[in-house]
Amino acid sequence: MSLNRLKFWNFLLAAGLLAVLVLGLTEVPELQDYLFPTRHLEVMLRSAKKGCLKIEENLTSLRARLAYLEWFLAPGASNQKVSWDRIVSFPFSEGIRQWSPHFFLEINLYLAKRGKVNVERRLKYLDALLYRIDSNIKKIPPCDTTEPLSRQFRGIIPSQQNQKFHQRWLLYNRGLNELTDQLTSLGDNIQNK
Amino acid sequence: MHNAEKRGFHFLQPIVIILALGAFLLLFRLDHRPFWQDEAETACLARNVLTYGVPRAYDGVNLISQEQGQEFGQNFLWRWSPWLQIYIAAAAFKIGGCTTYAGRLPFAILGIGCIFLVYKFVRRNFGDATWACLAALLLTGSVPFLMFCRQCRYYSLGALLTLLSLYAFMEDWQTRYGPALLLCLAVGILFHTNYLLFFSFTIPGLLAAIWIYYDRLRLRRTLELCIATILIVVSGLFLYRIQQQSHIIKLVLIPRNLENYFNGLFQYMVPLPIGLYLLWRWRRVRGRRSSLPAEPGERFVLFASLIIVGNILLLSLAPQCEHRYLMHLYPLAAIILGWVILRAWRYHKISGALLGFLLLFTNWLYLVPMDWAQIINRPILNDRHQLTHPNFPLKLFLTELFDPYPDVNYHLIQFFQTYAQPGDIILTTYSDLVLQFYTPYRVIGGLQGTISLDGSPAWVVPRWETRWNRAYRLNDSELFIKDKLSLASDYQPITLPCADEPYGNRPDPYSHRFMPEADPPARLVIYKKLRPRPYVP
Repeated sequence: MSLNRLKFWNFLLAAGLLAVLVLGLTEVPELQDYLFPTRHLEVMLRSAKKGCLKIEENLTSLRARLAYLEWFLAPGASNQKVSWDRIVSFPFSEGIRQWSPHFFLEINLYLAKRGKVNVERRLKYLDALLYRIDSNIKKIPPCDTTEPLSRQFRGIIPSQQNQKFHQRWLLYNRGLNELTDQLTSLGDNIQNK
Repeated sequence: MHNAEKRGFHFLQPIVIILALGAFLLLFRLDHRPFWQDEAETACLARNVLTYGVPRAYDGVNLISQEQGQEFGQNFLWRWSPWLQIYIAAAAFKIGGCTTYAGRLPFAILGIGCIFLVYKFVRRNFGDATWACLAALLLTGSVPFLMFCRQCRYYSLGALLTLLSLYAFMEDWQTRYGPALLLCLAVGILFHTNYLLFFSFTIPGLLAAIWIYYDRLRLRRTLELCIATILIVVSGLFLYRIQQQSHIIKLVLIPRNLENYFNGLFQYMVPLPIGLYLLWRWRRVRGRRSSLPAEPGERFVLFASLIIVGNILLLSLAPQCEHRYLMHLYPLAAIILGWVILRAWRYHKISGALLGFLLLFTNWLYLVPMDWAQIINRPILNDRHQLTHPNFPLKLFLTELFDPYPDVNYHLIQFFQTYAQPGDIILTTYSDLVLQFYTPYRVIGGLQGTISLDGSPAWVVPRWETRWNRAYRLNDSELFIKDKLSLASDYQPITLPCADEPYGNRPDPYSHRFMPEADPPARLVIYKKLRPRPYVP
C-alpha cells in the first residue's frame, strides 16, 4: 500500500471516529439540554411524526389484508389463479392460497389480529408521547415555543404541531375501530364456514 | 504460548483490578430493586423446591404460570423451562434465606466467572495479554451484560457454559479426557440451562468448527462426544415438553425476528461499523479452507462471528424474540471487539485510542451510525436516560446503583404488605408472580389464563400496559376486569405516587430504566373493594 493511500485511510478512520465522538457528545442528555435546549422537544416531535407514519402504514396494511380475506371468502374466489398484484402484496399468502386454504385462512387471520394489536399498542404509546410533548411544551418559556425548531419543522409552532398529531390520533383511532369491527365479523364468518 | 500465563500472582495485575471492578459492579446492592415478573417465576419455583423437592407450579395458595397454565400437567410439576436455574436459586435460598440478594447472588458470581474466563481463554489460546485484558474489560464495562448477570435467571450461567465449551474445544480434547469431559458437560448442561441456547449455539458452533477447525475434529472422538451429550440431554427432551412448545412457532414471524435480533446485535453487542469492517476484511474468505485467516486469533474471531450470526438465524425460528436470548454471546462479542481495538491501535494509534474510548465508555458507536442509517430500534416511549439513546452507559448504571429508585414492583409490594388483610385476594394484570413471592396473599390474574373466582377480589390492579396472549387475544385477566367487574361502582381507586411502568427491573436494554420517567403516561392505580353498606330500612 502506498504511503499516501495509507495516510488517507488513517485520516478517514480517525475522522469517522471523531465524527461519532462529536455527534455522540451533542446527544448526551445533560449536554444537549445545555447546548440545544429545544432539541429534545424536536426529537420527540420527530418521533411522534414517525409514530404517525408507522400507524398509517400498519392501518393500510391491515385494511389491505382484511380486503384480501374478504375477497377470499367470496364465492369462487379461492379457486382463482395466482395474480401478480396479490403476489406482490402478500407473497407468502398468495403462494399457499390454492394449496392449503385452511392454513391460508389461519395465517391471515392471525396476521390480521397481530396487525390490529400492533396498531392498538402504537396508538396507546403515541397518546402517551403526545401527552409528554404537551407537558414539555408547557415547560419551555413562551417566547421559545413560537420559534421554528429546526429545518424539518420550519415555521411550525410545536404546540400547533402537537395539536395536529392529536387530530391524527383521533382519526387513526376511528379507523382502527372500523377495522376491528370488520375483523370481528370476518372471524365469525371463518368460524361458521 | 501457555507459558505466558505462568507468572506469579500480583494484586496489581490488570486482570485482578478488572475482576475487582467486575465484582463490585455485579455484587454491589444486588437487591437494589425487587425481582420483576420473570425473575419472580424462577424465585417462586425455587421456593417451592425447598418445600416439595421439585419445582411445583402450585403451592396450595398460588399458581405460577405465564403461559395460561401450559407449563405443567395435572400434578403441577413444572415442565416448561429447564430446572437447573431453579435448583441454583433454591440452593441460594436454602443458604441465604428467601431474599432478593440470595436469589441473584449465584448468578452474579457466575458473571464474574465469565469475565475471568474470557481473560483466561484469550491469554491461554492466543498468548496476548493485552487482548485478554481488553476483552475482559469490555465485558466488565458492558452494561447490558452486567444487568443480565444481576438477575435471578439463567443468563450468566448460559454465558459461562458457552465460554467453557469453547475453552474445552480449543484444548486437546481429541486425546485428553479432561477437556473432552468438560466439553461434553458444558454443552449438556447448557441444555438444562435453556434448550433454546443449546440448539442455537451447538448447531452453528459445530458447523463453523467443521469449516474452520476441521483439523481439530476427529470423527471417532467427535461421535463419542455427541453420543455422550445426547445422553445428558435426552431426559430433558421429554421432561420440558419441547414438542408441545414447537406448535407456537410461526414461520411468518421469522423476518421480524431476524430484524429485531440483528438490531439488538448492532445496538448493544457489536457496532454496525465494526460488523461491516469484519465483512470487508473477510470478503475473500470463500468455501476453500486455504482462504481462511492464517493467524490463530483472527481465525477464532471469524469462528466467533459465525457462531453469533448462526445463533441469530436459528433463534429467529423461535416464537419469542427477546434480546436476552443473545446474552450468552456477550463474551464472544467482547473478544471480537478487543481484537478489533488492538488491530486499530496497531494500525493507527489515535484511531485505536478513540475506538477504545468509544467502546469502553460510551454507546455512541453503536447508536449514532444506526441513527444515521435510520434503522435504529427505539421504542417510542423510551426516554433519553436509557440505552437506546447516546449516553455513558456505566454512568447510568452507577446512578441506578447509588441512587436506586423505587420502581413499580417495589410500590406494589410495599402497598400490599401494609394494607392487605389475611385472606384477601389480589387480581392484577401483571406482576402477579412478584406479589406471590413477596406477599403472603393469594394473587391471581397476570398471564395465568382462565380465572375461576367466586365473588370479586378484594384488590384489583389493572396495569396501564395492555397485554395480549400469543394468539393476540386480550389476556384473561384483562377480560375478567373488563367484563366481570365494575371498578367504577364497587371499588375505590387509590393512586400511588409512582409511574405505572410496564415491567420494573427488566434487564433487556430497550426496556430497562435506570431512573424514573420524568413524565410518566400513567400513575399506578390500585382498586380497593368497597365494603357493602349495612341495609337500613
